[in-house]
Amino acid sequence: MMKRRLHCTSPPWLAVKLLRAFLDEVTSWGLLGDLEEESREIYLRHNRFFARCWYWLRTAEIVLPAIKVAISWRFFMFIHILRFMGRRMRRQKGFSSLNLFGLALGLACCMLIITFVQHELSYDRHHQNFDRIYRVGTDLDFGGGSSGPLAISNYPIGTTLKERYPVVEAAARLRRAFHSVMVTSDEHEFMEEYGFFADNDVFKVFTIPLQYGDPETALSGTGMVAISRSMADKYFGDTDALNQVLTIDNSEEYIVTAVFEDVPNTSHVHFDMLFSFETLLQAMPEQTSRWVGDFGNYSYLLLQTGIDPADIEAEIPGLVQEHLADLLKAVNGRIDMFLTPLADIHLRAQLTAEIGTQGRIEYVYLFSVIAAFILILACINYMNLSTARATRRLKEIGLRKVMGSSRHALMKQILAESLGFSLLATLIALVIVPLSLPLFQQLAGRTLIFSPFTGFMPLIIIAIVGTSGILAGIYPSLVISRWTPVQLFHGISGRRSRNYFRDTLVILQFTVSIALMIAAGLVGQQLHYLRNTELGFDKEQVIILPIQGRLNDDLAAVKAELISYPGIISTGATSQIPGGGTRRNAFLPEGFELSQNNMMAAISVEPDYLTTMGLQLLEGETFRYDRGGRSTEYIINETAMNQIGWDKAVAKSLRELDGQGNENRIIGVIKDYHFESLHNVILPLVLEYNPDHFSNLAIRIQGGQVRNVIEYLEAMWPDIAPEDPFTYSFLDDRINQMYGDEARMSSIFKFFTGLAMLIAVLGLLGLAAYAAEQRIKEIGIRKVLGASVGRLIIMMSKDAVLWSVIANVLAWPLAWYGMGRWLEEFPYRAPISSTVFILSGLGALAIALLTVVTQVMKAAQANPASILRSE
Amino acid sequence: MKPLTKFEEILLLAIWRLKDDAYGVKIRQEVMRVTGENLTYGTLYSALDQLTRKLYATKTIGEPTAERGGRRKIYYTLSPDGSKALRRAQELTKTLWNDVPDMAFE
Repeated sequence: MMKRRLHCTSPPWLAVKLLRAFLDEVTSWGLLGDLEEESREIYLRHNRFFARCWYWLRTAEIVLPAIKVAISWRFFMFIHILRFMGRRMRRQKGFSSLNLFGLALGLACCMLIITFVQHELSYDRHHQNFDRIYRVGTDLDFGGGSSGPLAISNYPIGTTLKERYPVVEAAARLRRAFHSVMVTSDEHEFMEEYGFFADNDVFKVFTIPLQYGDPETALSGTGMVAISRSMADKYFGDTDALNQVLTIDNSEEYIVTAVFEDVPNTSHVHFDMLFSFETLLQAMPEQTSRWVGDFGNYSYLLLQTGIDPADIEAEIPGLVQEHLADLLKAVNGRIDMFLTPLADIHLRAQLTAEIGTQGRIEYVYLFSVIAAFILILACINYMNLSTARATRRLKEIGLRKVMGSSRHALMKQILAESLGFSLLATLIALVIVPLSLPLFQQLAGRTLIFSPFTGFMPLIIIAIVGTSGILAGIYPSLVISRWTPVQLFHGISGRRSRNYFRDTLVILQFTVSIALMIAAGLVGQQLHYLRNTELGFDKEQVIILPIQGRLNDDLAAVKAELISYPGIISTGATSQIPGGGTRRNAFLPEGFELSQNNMMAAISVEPDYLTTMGLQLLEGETFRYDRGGRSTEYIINETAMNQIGWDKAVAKSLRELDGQGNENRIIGVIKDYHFESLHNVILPLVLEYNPDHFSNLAIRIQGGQVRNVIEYLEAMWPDIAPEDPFTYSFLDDRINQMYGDEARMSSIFKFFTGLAMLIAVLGLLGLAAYAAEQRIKEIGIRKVLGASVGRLIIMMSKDAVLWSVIANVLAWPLAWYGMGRWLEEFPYRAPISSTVFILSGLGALAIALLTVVTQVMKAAQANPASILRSE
Repeated sequence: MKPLTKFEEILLLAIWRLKDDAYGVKIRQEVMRVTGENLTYGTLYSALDQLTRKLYATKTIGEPTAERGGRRKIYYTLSPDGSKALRRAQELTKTLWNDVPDMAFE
C-alpha cells in the first residue's frame, strides 16, 4: 500500500501548466493541491487512467469557461474598436482619406523598392551551384598602364585550369557570337541579338534546364546550336526543333541539338542561342593555345565544394609565367587573372567589358535608404495627423478613462486602431503597386515581377504593416493615454501649448523632401551637362549605318552614290562610333625604351571620317585615299602627344606592340575629342586607316533633310545589302543612351522627390487644416477686433515658414555632401550650382505656404459672426 | 450589511460544519453532498475568494503534505462577521418559513 502510494501518479504536466496560466499564485497552489489530493484518492480506489481522466475533467471545467470569457471580451473589444474607427472615418472623411492615402502611398513605394531590391539581389541565384561558380577576369598591363580589371579572359585559361587541377570540376567559355545577326529557318527569318559560343561544360557549370536534348553532348561537336524555348517556338512553332537547321548570316548552318528553358531575367548574361565552341576552334585551331592577343572570352569555373578560390587564383601567375614569361619581361608588363564569384558579378564586381548589363550595389543601398525614408515620412505623417486629430477625440478618451479604462487598455486600443489603419493602407497599396509597376520598371530599367504572396514578400508585407502600424501609433498612444480625464476634458479648448515633437517631425519631413529635391536637381544638371558638353565633334545631324553588304565589298562606290544625293554632305567609315568600345594596345613611341611604351586606344577611320565628324586637325595632315588602305600612317590626339612628351609629333613614328611591329609614321595630331563616354577621361588615341576594321558608316546630312535622307537610304538599302534588314541610328541618340544610368537615376530621383513632397504636403495640409480649425474662434475674435485677412494669414503661416527655413538649413549640407560624393565619380562634372539649392528651398517654402494658406484662407474669410455665434 | 446569497450561505455553512478540516477538497465534497450537484473548483475558489474579501471567512495556510504533491492546504474559518451573517440568514429563513406548513407544496 505504502509503496503504491509513493510512486503514485503525478498529475498531467500539461494540465498543471494550463491551470497555472489561468489562476493567480495563491489560488493555484491551493487548488492544485486539492486536485492532486483528490485524484490520488481516485487512483487508489480505481486506477491511473481513471485518475487522469478525473484530473483533466476538473481542469477543463476551470479552464474552458475562462478561455471563453477571455476570447469573447477581446472579440467584443475588437469589434468595438473597429466600429469606432469606422464611425470616426465617416465623420472625418477628409482627414481620414488624407491620412490613409499618405500611408498607402508610402507603403506602395516601399513595396516597389523592395521588389526592385529583391530582384537585384536574386541575380544568378537560380544556378544550383551558384556559390561554387567563379569567372576568370583579367587585368593587363603591357608596360603602358593598366587596363583595369576586365571581365574577359583569354582562350586557354579555363580549360588549362580544369586539366591541371581536379578541384576545378568544370570550365565553360562563353564568347559573344555575331553582334546582331540574321537567323533563318525554313520558314522564318529574324534578327537575333543574344548568341554565344559555349563549351559543352556550360550545362555543368550553370543550371540550364533542357527541354530537349542531352546536356552531355549537346554542344560537343561542330556546327551545333542550343536554342531557348521561346526561340524554338518562334522559328519552329509546334514542330520539333531538335535536329532542325538554322542558318546564320545566310552562310553558316547549325543543327539544333538542344532546347533550353528561357534564361530568367535575373541572370547576369542573357542568351537565346549557344553555338558549340568547337565550331569556333575548328575555324581557328591555333586559338586554343593563344595566351595573349585575344581576351574576348568569359571563362566560368565550377569548383568543388569547400575549395577556396584564392587557392586557384594563386596558381594562375605560374601558368601565365609558363607561357608568357619572355613577352612580359620584354615589355615590362604583367597579366593578372582573378576569380570573381558569380554572386558578385551583377552588383559588386563592376568590371569593364562586362557580358551583360549590370546593376550597382550602391543603387540597391540608395533605393533601400529612400524606401526607408519614404516609409518614415509616411509614418510621421500618420503620427502627426493622428495626434493632431486625437485632440478631437479627447472627449471620447476622457469618457473611456472615466468609465474605468486603464491606460494600458487605451494604449492597446490606439495601437490596434493604428494597426488596423495600416492594414487598410496596405490593402490600398497592394492595388497601387501593380498599377504603378510599369512606370517603375521603366525608371529602374528592369523587368520586375510583383508577387505579394511568394518568397519573402508576405513576410515583408506583414513586417511593414506591423512596424508602420506600431511606429505610427506608438506616439499618440503614449501621449494621449497619459493625460488625466480632467486634462482631457479641459484640453478640448484649453490646450494650446506648443507641440515640439510634432514640429520636429514636420521639419524632418521637409528636410528629406528638400534634400531629395536638391539631389534631383543636381542629377538633372549633371545629366544635362553630360548630354550637352562640347565633345570635340559635331554630334548633331549624323546618321550611322552598319557596314554590311556592298559597303563591305565596295565602300568607295557606295559612298560616291550616297554623296550624290543632295541631302548628304559627307560620309566616313570607322571602326568605332563615339561611345563604343575601342581596341587598346601598347604603342612604343620612337626613341623610347621598350618598357616605356604607352597604352593607347586605337580606332580605324577613313580619311573622310574626320571631316564628317568635324574633328579638328591641330597639325599635320589627314589620311589620303591615294595612299590606299592599310596605310602605314597614324594620326594621334593631343593627349597621346602630351603623354609621350613630344612638342611636335608629326614626322615621328609609333610602333604597335602586337608582334608584327610595324613602325608607322605620324602624319597629324587632332584636337582631343570624347571618343568614349564622359565617364572616362580622354585616353591617348591612335587613328589608323585600316578598312578591315570598319564597322559603321557615319553620314552627315543637311539640317531639315533627315526624313528625305532616311527615305532615300531605305529605298537604296536593298541595293546595298539585300540580305540584311535596314537599321540605322542617330549619333546623338547613341550618345544620349550612354547616359542611361544617369537618366534613370534622374527620373528615379524625380519620382521619389515627387512622392516625398506629396506625402509631406499631405501631412502639412492636415496639420494646417487642424490648426485653422482649432484656432477658429481666435481668428473670429481677431477679425472682430479689426485684423485684416492678410494679417491673419501671416499669423497662421508663420510656423510653416519657420519650418521650411530650418529644414533648408538642415537639408543643404546633407544634399551638398551626398551629391558631392556622387559627382566625384565623374571626371567631367557640372559644378554644384547654388541655384539648385536656392530654388529647391524656395520651392519647398512656396509649397508649404501654399498648402497652409489654402487651409487658413477658409478660416480667415469666414464671417466671424457665424464662428462666434455658438459660444 | 447585505443578506447572504444562497450559495454563500451554503459555503459558509460547509465551512462551519467542517470546523478544522475546511479546505478545498472537503468543502467541495460537502457542498456537492448538500446540493447534489457538481461544483467546479473554479467556481468554488472564486466564491471562497469573495467570502474572504467580504471578511466572512479567513484564510490560513497549512503545512505541506505528501498526498498533495508537497503543496500546502488553504484552510477557511468562519470570521465573526461570517457568523453574524449566518445568524441573520438563519433568522430570515425561519421568519420566511415560519407559518408555512410542511405539506403546503405537495
